[in-house]
Amino acid sequence: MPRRKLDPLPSTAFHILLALAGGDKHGYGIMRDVAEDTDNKVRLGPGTLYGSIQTLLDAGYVEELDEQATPAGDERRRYYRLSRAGRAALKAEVERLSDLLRLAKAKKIVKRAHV
Amino acid sequence: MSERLYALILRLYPRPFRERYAKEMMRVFRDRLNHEGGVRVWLDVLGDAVVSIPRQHFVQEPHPYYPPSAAPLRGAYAVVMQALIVSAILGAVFSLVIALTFFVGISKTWPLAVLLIAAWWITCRKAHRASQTVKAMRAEATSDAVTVAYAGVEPLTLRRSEIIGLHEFEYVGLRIETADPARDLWVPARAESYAAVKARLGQWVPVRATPHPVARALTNVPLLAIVLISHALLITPTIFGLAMYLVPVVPAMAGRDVPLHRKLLWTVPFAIHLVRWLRG
Repeated sequence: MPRRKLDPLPSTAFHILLALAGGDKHGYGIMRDVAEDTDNKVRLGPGTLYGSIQTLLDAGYVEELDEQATPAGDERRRYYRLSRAGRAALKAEVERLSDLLRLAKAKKIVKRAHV
Repeated sequence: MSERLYALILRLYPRPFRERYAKEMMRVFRDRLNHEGGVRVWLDVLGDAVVSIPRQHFVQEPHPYYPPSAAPLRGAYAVVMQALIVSAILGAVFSLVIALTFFVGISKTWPLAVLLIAAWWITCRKAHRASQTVKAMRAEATSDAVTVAYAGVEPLTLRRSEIIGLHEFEYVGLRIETADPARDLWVPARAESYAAVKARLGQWVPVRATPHPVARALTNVPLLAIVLISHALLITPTIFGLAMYLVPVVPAMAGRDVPLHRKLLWTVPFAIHLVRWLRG
């Protein structure tokens, strides 16, 4: 089966990279960040989350860290980190979206500045 | 109990994915149960499982049997099958709601009905997304070649001289066959250009057709109409019965590309039920 293409970044992958841009996180931390960032509009299920993480790991956009304890000191978890390639892909996607927004503004689809 | 049930769901994921992520997924599930309500978590998890389980079964690394070039064919098929599976589950859930209203009376089981309707709504949304993915696939036939492009893989082209057969699977799509099965292509039946591509390629080689009786039964409008109208006539009208009909009526009436017969399929039983309810 094909590796899923990441250009442009699928929405789920974009949200995961954006969450990891704020620091290393475990799965639930990523899920919570995505929900908070989007006012609960995007709620990743475990299957979707880890499926996308797998794709991002394959692409080298995310690195897997050794299991470590959470700051709360409970059970050890696997953490994920945004790689240099992942940060570049995220930046490229943000620029692509910014260009689209500029285009929408030029066509008067969006009036006020949202970014 | 919840964790045991979720452990059973996890077993449905392919083994490599399960071995790598099941432990983490169970932790995430446990975290969500601890921080959010159980019903909401279950609705999310079930909706997620419906989509991610079939997907993961096809996104695993190709089996050594398949040469690398076979991957795009399997990928396209996965997307099409996912849409079909979601539609089938959607039909099954709705049938369950109907069966409950028949045998138990929906007003007596309203918490269950609300749960089922919510699950149906979520499945409906997932089905719509899967359908949009399929519709977004592009197939184009020129005078001497056909190109198929869909999200996830590079566009693939076959020259006319390479095509040795066409096999149409009803409701699924058209398989464009070559001497090397690994190079075969799929055009999904719901792709916008499906009819045009099939007509063009049909001029090059004959099309073999395989019917799909299960999908045909699930989408049989006259059969569904008989079931729904009988239901509206036989069951005692209740506010919950009306609410149950509104679930499919609203998206059907709002959808621009919903054909008239589909709109009638949902609105006629609703109208019958409404009139009976108003007359007391």
